Order: sequence, then C-alpha cells, then structure tokens
Amino acid sequence: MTVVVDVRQVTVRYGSTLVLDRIDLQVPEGSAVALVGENGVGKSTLLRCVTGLQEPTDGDISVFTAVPGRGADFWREVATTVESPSWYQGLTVREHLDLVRVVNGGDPDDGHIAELCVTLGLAGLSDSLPSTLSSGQRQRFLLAATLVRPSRLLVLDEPEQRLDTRIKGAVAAHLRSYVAAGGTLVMASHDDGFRVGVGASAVALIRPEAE
Amino acid sequence: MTPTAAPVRPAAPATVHARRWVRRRRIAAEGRVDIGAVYVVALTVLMAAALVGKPVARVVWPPEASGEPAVTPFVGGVAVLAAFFVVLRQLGPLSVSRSDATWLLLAPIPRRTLLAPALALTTVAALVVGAAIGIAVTGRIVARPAELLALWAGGTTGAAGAVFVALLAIAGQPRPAAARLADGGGVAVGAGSLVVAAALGAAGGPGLPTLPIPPVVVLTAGGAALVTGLFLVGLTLRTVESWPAAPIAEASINAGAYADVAYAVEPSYLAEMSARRFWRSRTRVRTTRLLPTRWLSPLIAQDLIILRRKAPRLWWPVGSVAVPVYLAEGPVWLLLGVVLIGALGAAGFTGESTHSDAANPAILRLLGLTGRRVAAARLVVPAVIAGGWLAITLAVLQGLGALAGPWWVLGLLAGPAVAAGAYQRAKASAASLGTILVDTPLGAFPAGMLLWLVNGVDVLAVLTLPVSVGLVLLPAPEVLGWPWLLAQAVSSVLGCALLVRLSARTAGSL
Repeated sequence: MTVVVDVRQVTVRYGSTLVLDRIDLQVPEGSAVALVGENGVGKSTLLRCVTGLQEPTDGDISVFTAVPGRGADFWREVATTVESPSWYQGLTVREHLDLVRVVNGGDPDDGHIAELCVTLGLAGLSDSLPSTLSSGQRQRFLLAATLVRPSRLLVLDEPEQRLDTRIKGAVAAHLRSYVAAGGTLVMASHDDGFRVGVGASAVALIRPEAE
Repeated sequence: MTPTAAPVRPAAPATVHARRWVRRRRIAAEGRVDIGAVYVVALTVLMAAALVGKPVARVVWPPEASGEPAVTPFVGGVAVLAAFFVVLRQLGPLSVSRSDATWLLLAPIPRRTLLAPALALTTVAALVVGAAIGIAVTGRIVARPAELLALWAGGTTGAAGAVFVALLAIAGQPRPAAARLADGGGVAVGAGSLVVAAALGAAGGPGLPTLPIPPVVVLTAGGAALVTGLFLVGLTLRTVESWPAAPIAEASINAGAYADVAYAVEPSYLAEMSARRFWRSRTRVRTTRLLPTRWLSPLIAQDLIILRRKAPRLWWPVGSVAVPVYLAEGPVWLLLGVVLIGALGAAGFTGESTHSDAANPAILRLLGLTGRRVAAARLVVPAVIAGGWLAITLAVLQGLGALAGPWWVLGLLAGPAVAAGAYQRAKASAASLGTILVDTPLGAFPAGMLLWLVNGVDVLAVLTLPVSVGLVLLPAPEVLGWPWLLAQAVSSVLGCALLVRLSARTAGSL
C-alpha cells in the first residue's frame, strides 16, 4: 500500500529544548493515525512538520512522495487545522464554505455543505459573520471549512476540542467515512473515545529524555 | 466561638472621590508630571504651529473676501460640523481611560464624577471647533477691514452650533440603534455638503440676498443659543447616571486604541479596528448566491459581496470626488496629491481580504490557490472602482474647464495602476511595518506611521506618471493627446503584470 506520510528520524528543537527526538512514522493511504500523549510531547509540532509549516531541525519528511508544503498542488490535496484560525471579515459562514468548495473545484450545491452544517450544528448559523461566533462555534466552523473541500490527506489538531458529545460522535463518524472512502487522516487527540470512534490507531509520543 | 455578625444591609456607598484617590496614589508612585512627556507635547505643539499654523490661519481667516453674502461658505461649515460629529461618535464621545473602565466603571461610584472630565473636554473641543468654523465662515462673507462685532457674532454662533452637534453625539451614545442612523445621517450630510459646495463653487458661488441683519442681532441670537446649549450640557451630566455601562466601556476601549495608535505611531491597527467595528455592527447580513456562480471568479465575487455590504461607507469616496474641484484653481501639486490619494483610497475599499491574507494566510492554504492567482483576481474590482473614481473626478475637472481632452479615458486607464498601489498597501500588515525603529538624536522612533503612509504610494506614483505629468504640463487650453492614453495603458498593464508575476508561485503566501 502507498505510504502517504513518511517521517524518518525527525528531530525538532526549540532553542535548547528537545521536543521531538528521532521520530519515525509511516501512514499508509486510506488509514487513520492519532498522535496521543501528554501536553508538550510535540504532537502539534509533528503535525506542523507534516504540513510543511515547520522545518524539522533534523530528519526527512515526505508527503505524497514530495517535500511537504511546497506549491499549490500540495495544498489542493492536504487540508489542515494546525494553524491559528483566520477568516474574511465580511463573508458569512455559508459564503466561506461556498468559497472553499468552489475554489477547490467542488460543487457547492451538491448537498455536501448542507449535510456538514447539520452534522456540525452550524445549520442555523449560515448567515452569521465568523467574528460574531462563540469560540466553540468558531471551532466547528473551521472544522467544516476544512472538511468541506476535497482532499486526500487530513491533518487535524485535536478536532474534538470544544465539541459537545453529540457533535463529537457525528464528527468521528464523518472522519471514519472519509477514511473508508480512501482518505488518509493524521490527527492529534486527547480523547480516547473519539479516537476509537474515528477508528484511528494510536501512536504514543513521549517526552524525550533531557540530555 | 464568636459568631460573625452579618451586616443588616449593605452600607450605602460613601461619595468617595475615587479618581482623586487613584491620582494621589499614582503621583506618590510615579511623581507628579513626567518632564519627558511635557517636552514631547510642547515640542509637538510648537512644531505643528510652525509647520501648519500659517496655512491654517489663512484657511480660517483669508486675507481677501468678497464682502458679498454667499451660500458656499455656509455649506462648507455644515460639512465640517458633520465631520466633527462623525469624529465625536468614533471617540464615544464620553469615555474614560481603560484602567478606569476596568476598575471604576463597575464600582459604586457616581458616574457623573467619572464622566465629567470627558464631558468638559468634549464641550471645550466643540467650543473651539465651532468658533473656528464660525470665524472661517465670517471671514469669507465680510468685507475687510472686518468689524470685531461681526467676528464675535460668527464665533459665538459657530460655537453654539458645534455644542448642539456634540449634544447630539452624546445623546446617541446610549442608544446604539438610533446612533447608527445618526452616523449614516452625519456621513451623508458631510459628503452631500461637499458635493453641493463643489457644485456651487463650480457655478460661481451664488450670492445670498443681502438681508439687513446687523451683527449685534446675530451675536445675541448666537449667544442665547450657546447659553441654552451649555445649559443642556449641564443637564446631560445628570442623565449619564442612568446610562448602561456598555456604551461607556466600548467608547473607552476605542479611545484607548486611538491613544495606542498615537503613542505607538502605528495607524494600520486603526484600520483593522474600524473594520472590526463596522462588521460587528452589520446585523442584517444575508448569504448571497454569488459565490457558486460559475461565470465569475470566486475571489472577484468575494470582492463584489464586500463592496455591496460596505455600501453604507461608499458615501466618502463618492463625496470625495468633489474635493479636487475645490483645488482646481490651487497649486497643481496639491490637486495631484488629492486626485491620486483619493483614487488610492477608493481602490482600497475592498482591501481587507488582502490584508487579512497577508497577516494570516491559513485560508489561502485552505483554498489551495497560488499567490499569483489571488493577486490577479484581487486587482479586478479595485481597478474598476479606482478607474471609475478617476474618470468621474477628471471629467468634473474637464467640465469646469480646468482640463481639456479625453481626460476621463485617462482616468479609466489609470484604474489598474492605482489598484496595484492599493494591493501593495493592503498587503502590508502591522507586524511587517510597525516594528521598524529609526534611531534619532531624541531616541528610537517607530517608523510605522511613516512607512504606512508611503506604503503603496511609491508604486502608485511610478505607475500613474502619465496622469501626474499630464496634470502638471497640460492645464487647459492644452489638449490631452492619445500618446498619453497609450502611455498610461502600457504603464497600467505592465504594473499589474509585474505585481502578479512577483507574487508567490506557491499557495499560502501572497
């Protein structure tokens, strides 16, 4: 099976702090992997390296057999929530979802957006401007914007954060069907129940020994 | 065990002069006055007086006047009063410092003591601005040498008018819905007055029928109005007691942000804050179906949606079309500056999306678009707006006889060049400009303001050279020839092509 994410001997240091120490990770196409571990073990850092938003101090990473984060082609295949959230001031929630889907070549009227809005409890918020949403609603909106576009690899940083139990179950089912349809998922998670719901295998990260 | 006695009822709050108490503590900790601050303020005032004192004095009191009563100065006065209203509404007008808003606003302290300084400041500002407007209007309709009584009459009446405007702004503060209407009215009156004054100026300034109103009557009426206004200000101080905390807190946050901008010399933050306030106040936004339209690029559709939603703010670009008309007879460099900066302002109308992409390109990565495709799409709507603005402005100047030839076509052709400047301007974020420090003998100076001011103007100046040089070399009756149009078309196309070419080939950056 094709390996989508290939992480070899990756080391990341912030100044004198060693965050990741010679990590190896191979994620085959059509599978789901959840990075687990306590706060500060480097889950988000590894996800940022996988998306090319951060250069590892040492080691090699390839995604779809290429260096990650280079060019528009990469971002057409990879959707992520590892960045700090951003939105356009004057567009409504629904217009953001339309924009993301149209630009990525999807049909905004094929029912996909409406279905996701129902799943994520955003149906009544279509006309709202993102700046007026609560932090929980914003989290769901950004998750929807990531899931609404076609992609082959999803890189999600704690997608279960700030979701209530019902929506958490619905998101887990959605991600499971994404993987079943051939998509690949790499995520960080603190919620074992959610991880099992998604069907992701756990990869435990541990804090590197101080040198 | 001794039982702890609960108080029978909470003691009524004593009239504590909390602000005085806080001030004393602060003085004890930091000393009375920072001599450095006094030096900076004094230096700023002196430099401002030396640099702009003379031109300002000439604007308020021109050395020559027709001596005939005319409508135009009154309309101009109304425009300045409307602008004063808008500024007051932006500032609150009644606000307290941010620390007072946090610690004292919600404490059981009479609101009157908290807001009295702000009310006094607003009133003094209204008196000064109003008197200046009154004297300026008088200076344009009274023959020289002017009577001192006429000067007093103008100043007093103007001050009374401005005090009523301030009262209106204060009355709107605790009533957000009514205040939004008043804001729209203020902007409409300001922009409308500018247009009317320009039209009247173009028509030769029709005179008023000479009414035998002696200055003493005007002075008496103005004085009576001023006393009434000041009495109402006094009454306002009583009504603030029943104001909710929210409008005061919000005004304090805004005033604090303005102070930050002045202190840190970082004005781009102001634009972001103003945008946030604007969008928060839009309560009737409905999703459009423009984005799924196949025949329009999604990013152009996005700009059109923003343009439609910002229509309440279109008054300023529309009104500012009239400004160059005032300057048609003035120095050409001033006319040139106003024409180009006005066009740049109009082209920046939809620049928020570019600014937010430059500050955080996460959405661009989500969209999977290259910087080049984004740049190409984001130039279209501003090019049309700037082209339209320039075409109308230059056509009006042509109509006035200041220019001859197909100037409006030149304006249309210069639209893309202006859009390129506006795009460059929108791209610069607070983080990229504000942290650059310039060392001066008086200490490090944050160059944010200067860089922000010239940012994009450099691109504009180069790409619109045919317009600039044309305005300088070809006043009527010289006729603009087609080589000028060709030169501007080439410059516009080259500028936009270069900007797109220099944009990132990758997704996630501009």
